[in-house]
Amino acid sequence: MSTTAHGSQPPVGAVFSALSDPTRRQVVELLSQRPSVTASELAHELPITRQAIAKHLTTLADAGLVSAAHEGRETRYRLTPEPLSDAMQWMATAGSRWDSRLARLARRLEEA
Amino acid sequence: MAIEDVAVRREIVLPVDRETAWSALTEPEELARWLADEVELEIEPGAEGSLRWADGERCPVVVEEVVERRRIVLRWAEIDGPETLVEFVLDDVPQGTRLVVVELPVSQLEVVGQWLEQGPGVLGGPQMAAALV
Repeated sequence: MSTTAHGSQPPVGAVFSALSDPTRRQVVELLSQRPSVTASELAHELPITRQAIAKHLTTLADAGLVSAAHEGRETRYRLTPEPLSDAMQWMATAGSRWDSRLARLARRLEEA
Repeated sequence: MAIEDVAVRREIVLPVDRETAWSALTEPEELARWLADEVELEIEPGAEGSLRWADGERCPVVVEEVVERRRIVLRWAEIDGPETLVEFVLDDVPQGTRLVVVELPVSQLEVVGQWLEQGPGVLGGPQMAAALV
């Protein structure tokens, strides 16, 4: 899988896990619409506290989906979507593996 | 993001009866003809075994659930991939037997839980496949 190519990338499982929360998926969507945001900016757009948003951003950062940069007194977050493509890659790989396995199964049973 | 975005689902109608389809899913020598190149696995609840593919990848497997002639749930992690649950469900259809396969990263069970009622079993409720139909 493509995780190997990235070496230190968090595993695909961490990405799926980070995205299993609907609020975090919303955060990812908002981040994808602009170059960078602060936790306070996100708090204006989402019905949760700045503290809760900061926690979600940390989880996303741990999964490699978000990076944080300190600018003066504020921390700006931006989307780093590469691990997302690893997750998509898993879906594609797993899907094509099942396509060939099931084709083999169907052939086997048609012969039998 | 919907459940379709986090699970792989495939469906195929096999031109055989349930009994034959069940054998193809449960007998190691049958599994070795389509699922993997080497199969060391008894399809019994709690059984541990392994699969190996021609490219050398060896993958430990746990049998999580077996419902005779109906349903099998395996848990495995292919190399570099996330740990996943793989569910097979068989159904009678006029043309033979329908097989639904769902593969879902274990980390996504939480998402599935939003669609399913809480209940016994590793999936915490009814079948993954049912949730995806």
